[in-house]
Amino acid sequence: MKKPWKTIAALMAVGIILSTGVALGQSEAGYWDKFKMLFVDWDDNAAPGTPKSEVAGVRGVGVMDALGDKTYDWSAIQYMEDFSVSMDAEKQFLKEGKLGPYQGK
Amino acid sequence: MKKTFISIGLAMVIGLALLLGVPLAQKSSAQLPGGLNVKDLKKLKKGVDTVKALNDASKPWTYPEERATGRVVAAQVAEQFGGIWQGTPSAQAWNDYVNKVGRALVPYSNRPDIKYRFAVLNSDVMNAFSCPGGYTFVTKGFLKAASNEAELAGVLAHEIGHVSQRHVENTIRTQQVAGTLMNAGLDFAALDGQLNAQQVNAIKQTSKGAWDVLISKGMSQKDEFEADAVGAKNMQRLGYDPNALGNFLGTLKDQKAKGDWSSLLKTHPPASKRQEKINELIQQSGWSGGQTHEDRFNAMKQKNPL
Repeated sequence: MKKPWKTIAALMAVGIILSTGVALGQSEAGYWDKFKMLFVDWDDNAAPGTPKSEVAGVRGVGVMDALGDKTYDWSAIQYMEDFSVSMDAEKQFLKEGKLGPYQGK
Repeated sequence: MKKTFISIGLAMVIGLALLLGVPLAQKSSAQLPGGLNVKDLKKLKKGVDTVKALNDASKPWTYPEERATGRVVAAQVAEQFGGIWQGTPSAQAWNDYVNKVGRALVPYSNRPDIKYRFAVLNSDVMNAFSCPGGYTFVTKGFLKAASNEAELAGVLAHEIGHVSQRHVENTIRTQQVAGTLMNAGLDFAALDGQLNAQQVNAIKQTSKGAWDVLISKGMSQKDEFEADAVGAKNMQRLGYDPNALGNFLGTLKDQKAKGDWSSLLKTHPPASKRQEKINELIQQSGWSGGQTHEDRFNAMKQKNPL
């Protein structure tokens, strides 16, 4: 009578370990999928996720011209929009800090 | 169903106005059935447009609208707070560091599909700001006051929370007026450079609304607490100690004597109340541990003086 219970308990334990593992795996994959989106060159004037088209880069110039630069620091916006961090550098940062998918590793 | 009838009604009125308006344009005093003239029709059309715009004010902004507003407000914030700290190796290193911490948090945001941008403002005022569309700033003064990387992550996660929850936009939209003006902008962000006076005015007014929310009046306490909760959750998921956000807020009282916190305190709920709520959340969620990366942060400060 004891054996079936042991088997059931063992199977349950295996199930829990597997499901936890799958969940962790999915969570990691989920992070990396979204992480990759950080490095896509999007068209900021379209819906999120739209790849940049050749003409998109000139858009917004009219807003800057129309509003002038007395109370607006447009160079700051340009700096932020041009600033880049490479995917490798960001991954290295996460790895060194044991952050995101590198937690506990 | 109701909306369909309203739309059909509006279309009919506008169609009638256009049909009758064109042939009668040169005769503004021409009489229409019912004693109306072209001037009356124009007034009617303007009224219909205003009602339609107010109706549209309840619609969420499209991403181009959100971003276009955000970059105008961000340009104002940068102008007001010393511009972006740049031009020295230290400045470059800190902007890089802040971007790395900020970008690491983004995948845990509930809007990871928009482009968040981070920068350090060349100001000793201690504050952090996020504008619609993801333009996010911390000041040099804030970095001086923070004692570890987790505190920086906590503040950035809080700011990302404001963007992801659309707090500025929602506050403006509840005021209706900005929504009306935004509608008058006629999707200005999608234009390739030519703006008419009405559109320029729409941009100015909408960004003024956002400026008031961010800098002058502040967001509601509910929104601030929500950004704290979202921030604490996301920094914890990334692997930071979520207590760091509360700890940083707890030091505000002590820091008050050392620096200018007035702008931050003016627009936020009491720090002690925020700390209390974050602590409650951490306890209820059973979160423990996490990185503070004090060493990495202090090494940055030593190598790259602020």
